[in-house]
Amino acid sequence: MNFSPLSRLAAATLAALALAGSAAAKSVELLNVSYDPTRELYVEFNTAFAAHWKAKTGDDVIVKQSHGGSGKQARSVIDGLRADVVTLALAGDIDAIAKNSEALPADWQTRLPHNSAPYTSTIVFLVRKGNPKGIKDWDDIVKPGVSIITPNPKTSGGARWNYLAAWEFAKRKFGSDDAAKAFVAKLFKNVPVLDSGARGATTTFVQRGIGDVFLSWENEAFLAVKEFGSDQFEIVVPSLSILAEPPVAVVDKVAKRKGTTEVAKAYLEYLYSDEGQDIAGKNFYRPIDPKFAAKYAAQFTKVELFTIDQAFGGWAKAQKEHFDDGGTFDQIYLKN
Amino acid sequence: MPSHRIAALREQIHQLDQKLRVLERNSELKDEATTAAAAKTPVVNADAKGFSLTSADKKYSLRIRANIQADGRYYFEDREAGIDTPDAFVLRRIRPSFEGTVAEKYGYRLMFDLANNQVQLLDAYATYKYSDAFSALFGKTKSPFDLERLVSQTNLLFIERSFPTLLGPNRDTGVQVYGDFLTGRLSYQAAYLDGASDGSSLETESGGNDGKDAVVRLFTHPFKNDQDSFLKGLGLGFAYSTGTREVGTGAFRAYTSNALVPFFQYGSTVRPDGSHDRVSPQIYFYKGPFGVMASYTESIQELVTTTVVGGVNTITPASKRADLTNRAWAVNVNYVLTGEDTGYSTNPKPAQDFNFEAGTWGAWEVAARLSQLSVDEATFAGAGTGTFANRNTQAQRIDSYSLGVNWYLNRNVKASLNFEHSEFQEADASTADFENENAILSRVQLSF
Repeated sequence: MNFSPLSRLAAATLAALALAGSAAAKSVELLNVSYDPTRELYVEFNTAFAAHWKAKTGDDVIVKQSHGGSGKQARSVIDGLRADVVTLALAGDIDAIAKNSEALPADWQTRLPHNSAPYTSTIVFLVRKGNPKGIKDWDDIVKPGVSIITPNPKTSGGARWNYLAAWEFAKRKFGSDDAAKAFVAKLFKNVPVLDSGARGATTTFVQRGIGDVFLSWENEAFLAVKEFGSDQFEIVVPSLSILAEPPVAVVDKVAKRKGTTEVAKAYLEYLYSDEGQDIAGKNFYRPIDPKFAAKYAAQFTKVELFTIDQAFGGWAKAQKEHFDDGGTFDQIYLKN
Repeated sequence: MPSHRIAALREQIHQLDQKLRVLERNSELKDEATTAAAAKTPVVNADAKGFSLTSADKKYSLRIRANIQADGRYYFEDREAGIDTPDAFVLRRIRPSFEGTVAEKYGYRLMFDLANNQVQLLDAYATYKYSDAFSALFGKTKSPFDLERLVSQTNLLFIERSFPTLLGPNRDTGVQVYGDFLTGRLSYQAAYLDGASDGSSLETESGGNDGKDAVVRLFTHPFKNDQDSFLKGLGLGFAYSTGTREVGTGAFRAYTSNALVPFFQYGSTVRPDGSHDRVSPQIYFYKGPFGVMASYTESIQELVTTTVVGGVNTITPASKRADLTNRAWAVNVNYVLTGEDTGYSTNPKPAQDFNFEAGTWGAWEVAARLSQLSVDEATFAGAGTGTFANRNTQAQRIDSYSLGVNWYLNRNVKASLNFEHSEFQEADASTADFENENAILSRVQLSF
């Protein structure tokens, strides 16, 4: 067949334009589905990563953020929210995504250093200025007349850390799981409002003026003091608390479909870089890099920390025993 | 009052204040929960795009749409002396359609045409979207070839499409894959289809043919993402189809003027028998209220003459065979007088709907078109009146210009008026004498 010169010219022009286009800079969009109190951390980190990625590859990257109770966020991802990466409050929530959606492998936690937790945190008490109820440790908050603000462990990762920290404190002090259960039951008897996430609970305590003590992520407590002033609130560090290790993971299935696997991996790896660790420290998370842990050590009060593995045999076991339907939380809360 | 009494009262007030705050906060949380629950309720919608029902998670949807086109055609100068093409009011298209999604990634569409007192199934397909870069379509719809054919029937600039569509396939059945790359700057469509004759949806299988058409179309918007670029609205494309066709006689659609008057038809004993290739470079540019669109199509087809043997058209040793190349091009220019943006396959959205009482007049657009179609001269060669078509009665080339005015009363109602002028080059000027053709076409369209 003989096509006209015009047809050949058009084909050649199109091919050239397509090639020219492929050489041009790309614009990539990531969705980071995270838990409630990380808003400020990732606003700063995303800007830094975008600049890093632009300098490294010439490509633009826009990271969109979604925040909510960690359990709720995990459910959204399972239900189809197209997250390229998840940065949740606890490993159990990412395990749930792996189990229920098969969007990432079961061994996701081995893919990045430090069990895929680039920073840690813990649970502290935020009280009103002057600490009018004289709260110093866990046994003070279960006393009658003390109003406690904590979110719902069914939907909030932070609330599950709160619950387990209180449980372990009571177990060590009173010597049994039954005593711990009774202690935690008393604690939740003092909770007048159950928000679905940590940020909502912060609103309840800080802005609505409800409660005497807020069981809070350490970084969230610092943020409240920073934002509203030390003349409004004080941070009380209990004698024992839990080492919270908020993990991060690429959601392989989504990233592969969207063609963002490379940038999603780089995004999470950058959390471990000097700049990522510095930003974590600045936002009151505890960096895992010893250099930056030392740099920010002064802002954190020393506290005895235990891990979920030590006290509860890991997240899968803790989730099943305490937070699944019919678990100890249901037994305690429904009874209350 | 004793100080301990004052302290007790203060504590009492504090307790009451806390109770009130707790009640208010729990009420607030209840409202939030109610709002969240409402977000899970299916949404029923009725707007300019039709009537739709969508599940709360947006994974399932049904949209009902329709298009009614009532035309008037007035021929005040016919192409041939003695022929009087009747002026007429016709219902050009009456097309209800149903489309939507199932399980998020799967789509469907059914569209019927009820015009001419018959029911035709035009679109019937299911789609699967894997990613922006890859989707698949199974069933019947437009072949991804011709630029103007791919413009939705409701968004045509002129009342009738022009000559390049006569040389490309219309609707066809098979499998298509398509997607975008480079953040939408490069799109592709590839199809493996039953095969359709030029300008029609006639399927080759009716003749017992195993031949299929492969169609590939690439289209690029090289400056699409450059917000400040003057060339942001530039699109360039190229389509190619190849296949074999071995159907019986009568497989050809007559070529018609832009006013739908036939001017060329292959002879009744001619049939396709062999390869059929098409190629079409395409371009458009839209900037604000201004638009221009152009395309060119070549259709190269192997034809053979037949002889009636025992009442059946049969290829015999005396049959003549040839690869014939027909060509067509068209250039459209349009400008929206009222300033609204124009675009490919989109109608201008009136800034103000027509309202006589309020003195608002919708959007007004003017358009002009030049177009040409030429039939391979070898079609008419040979003994007698010609091998593949009768040179005494058929035109070899048509040149047309069109002028049009479109009035968009709102997003759903459009009125159009076109003037169509065509000049013909007879296949044999010594035996045929075609006059110029002038016609006015009008349309009132309601679509949603």
